[in-house]
Amino acid sequence: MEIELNSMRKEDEVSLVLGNLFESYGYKKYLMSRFEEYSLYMENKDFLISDKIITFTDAGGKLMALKPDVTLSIVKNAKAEKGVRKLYYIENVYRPARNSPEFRESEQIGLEAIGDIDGYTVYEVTRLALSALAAVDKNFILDISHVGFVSALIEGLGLDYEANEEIYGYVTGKNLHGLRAAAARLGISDVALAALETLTSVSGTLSEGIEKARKAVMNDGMRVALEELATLDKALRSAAYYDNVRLDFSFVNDTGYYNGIIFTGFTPAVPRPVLSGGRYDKLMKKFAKDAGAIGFAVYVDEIVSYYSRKAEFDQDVFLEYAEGADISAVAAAADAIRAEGKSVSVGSAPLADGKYRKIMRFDGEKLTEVKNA
Amino acid sequence: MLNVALPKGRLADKTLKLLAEVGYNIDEITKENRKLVFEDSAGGICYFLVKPSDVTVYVENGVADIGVVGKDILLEYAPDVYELLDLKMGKCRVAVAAKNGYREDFERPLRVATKFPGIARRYYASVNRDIEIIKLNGSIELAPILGMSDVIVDIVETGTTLKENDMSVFTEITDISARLIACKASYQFKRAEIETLVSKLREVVK
Repeated sequence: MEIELNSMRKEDEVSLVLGNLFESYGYKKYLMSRFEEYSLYMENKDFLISDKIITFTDAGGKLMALKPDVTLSIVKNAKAEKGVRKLYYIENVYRPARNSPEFRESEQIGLEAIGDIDGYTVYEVTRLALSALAAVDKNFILDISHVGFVSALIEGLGLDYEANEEIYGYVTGKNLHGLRAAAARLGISDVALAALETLTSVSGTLSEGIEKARKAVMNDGMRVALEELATLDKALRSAAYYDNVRLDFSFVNDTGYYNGIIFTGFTPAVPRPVLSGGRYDKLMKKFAKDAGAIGFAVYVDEIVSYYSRKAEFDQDVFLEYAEGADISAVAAAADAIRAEGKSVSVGSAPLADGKYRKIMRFDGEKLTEVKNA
Repeated sequence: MLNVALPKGRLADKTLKLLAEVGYNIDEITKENRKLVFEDSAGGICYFLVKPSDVTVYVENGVADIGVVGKDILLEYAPDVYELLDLKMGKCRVAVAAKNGYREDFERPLRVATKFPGIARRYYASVNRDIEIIKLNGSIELAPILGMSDVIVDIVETGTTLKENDMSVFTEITDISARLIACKASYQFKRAEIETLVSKLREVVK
C-alpha cells in the first residue's frame, strides 16, 4: 500500500519517516515499560527538562514514576560491550508542558549510540539529526556547539562557581554588555574578555564559525574541542543540508552530563528547539558505565502545536447515499472511487463542518456530483 | 519582516525616537490612535504595543522576534531569550526602601512588600535573610505606611514618591535600564536583520 504523507498528521508523518530513516542506518527500536523507579530520576534530576514527575506507589510499596525521559532508562540498561550499540525510540513521556505547570503526555522520538564513540559516530548522529529536522521542515537550522570549548574557556579563568555561572549566563544570552561589565568587576584580563566576546558572537556556517573561534583559543582544552568540531565540519561538508548548519556557542546543555559536541535544531514555525542532543559521556560515567554516548531527541509535542495538518480537505469525496440504497452497491461505488487513489467518507449526509473536495450522491444505481470545491 | 514588541508608555516613545534616529519610519505609530499594530514595510519592520510585563511573553513565543523590556522584568521572570543590547534609557534602580527611622529587627523574619517577588527572594537569599513576601501589584509604598510590611522592594527612579511618603532607600539591589531582547528561535532565521538593527542602535546608544 502506498502511504500518502500529505494527508497524515504532521506528528505521524515525522515518526514514520524517522523510524524508517533510523532503521536504514542500523538503529534498532528500543521498547520500554511505561514506569521506572522514581529514584532513577531523583538522582539525575538536573538531566531532565523539568524535575516535576508523576509518581505513584506500586503494589510492592515502591515509589514509581511515569517516565519523563527515555535516555536515562537506556543508559541505565546499557551493557559494557565492544562496538557501538545503536538504538532509537518512539515513546510517550510525561512532564509539564513548557511554561506551564500542567502535566502532558507527549511523544518523543530519539536515538542513542552507546559504546566506542569515534569521529564517524559523531558524524553519523549529526547527519541523522539533519535528516530528522528536514523531515519536519526543510527550512531548518541546526546549531552546533561544543561543551568542552565553552567550559575550558570559562573554567580556565580561575573564578569561583558563582562567577562561572554568571559568565555562562552572558554567553547563553548573547549578552555582550553584561559580559563587559562583569569582566571589569571580576578582573578578567583583556585577552580573556576578547575570547569570551568571540565565543558569544561567533556566527555563520560551521566552517566560518570555526575559523572565527580559532582566535578565542586560549588553552589545550579549547584546542582539542575545536579540532573535534573541525573534524565534524570536514566530514559534514559533503552531506545534504550542510548549509543549514551553524556554529553557535549560546547553547550549552548541562555541563555535568554533556561533554563534547552538542546540537540544537530549530524550524521557523516553532519558537523553541524541536531537536536537541549531543555527546553525554559524563552521564554514562555517573552510571559507572565505561563507554561513550551520543544521541538526540525530537520534541514531537512542539511540532504538534505549530504544524497543522497540511491537507486542505478532510476527504477527497463524500459519498452520500439515498435512503434504502443497497449496502453492497454503496460499498462498491465507494470502492470504485478509492481505486482511483482517493479517500472517501460514506454516509447518509455530510457533516456540517466537514471539508470535502467533492460531494457525490449515490441513488442506488448511479453517482451524480452534488458539489465540487 | 522583523516583528518588534514595544512596552506601552514612556519606554515605547523613547525606543521609537531611537529607531527614528537610525532611520526607521515611525510616522504611523506616533499618530494619536488606538491601533496596536503598525507596519513600516519599506523598513521591513512591524511594531506592536503590549503591556510592559508581557513583552517577554510575546518574544519567548516567537510572535515578536525582538522586544524592548526593562531589566527588572528580565530579572524577575528570567525568560529564555537573548539579551542583545543595553539601550541605556529608562534608567532606574531596584531598591529596598523603608519608612524614615526604620530599624531592622534581625530576630524575626522580614516582611517584604513587592511587585518583584523573584528579585526580592534572590536578594535576601544572597544575604541569608529569612523573609516573608507580600505580593502587591501597585502602590507598594502603602504597605509599610499601614504596617502591612517592614520594607518594600521596588523600582526607584527619582525618589520623589518615597520622599513624599516619608520613606527613603535602605539598600540598593541593582541598576535597571531598558534592554533589547530577541527570541532564540527567531534569531536563528533572522540573524542578519536583527544584527543590522542591533549594530545601528549600538552606534546611537553609546
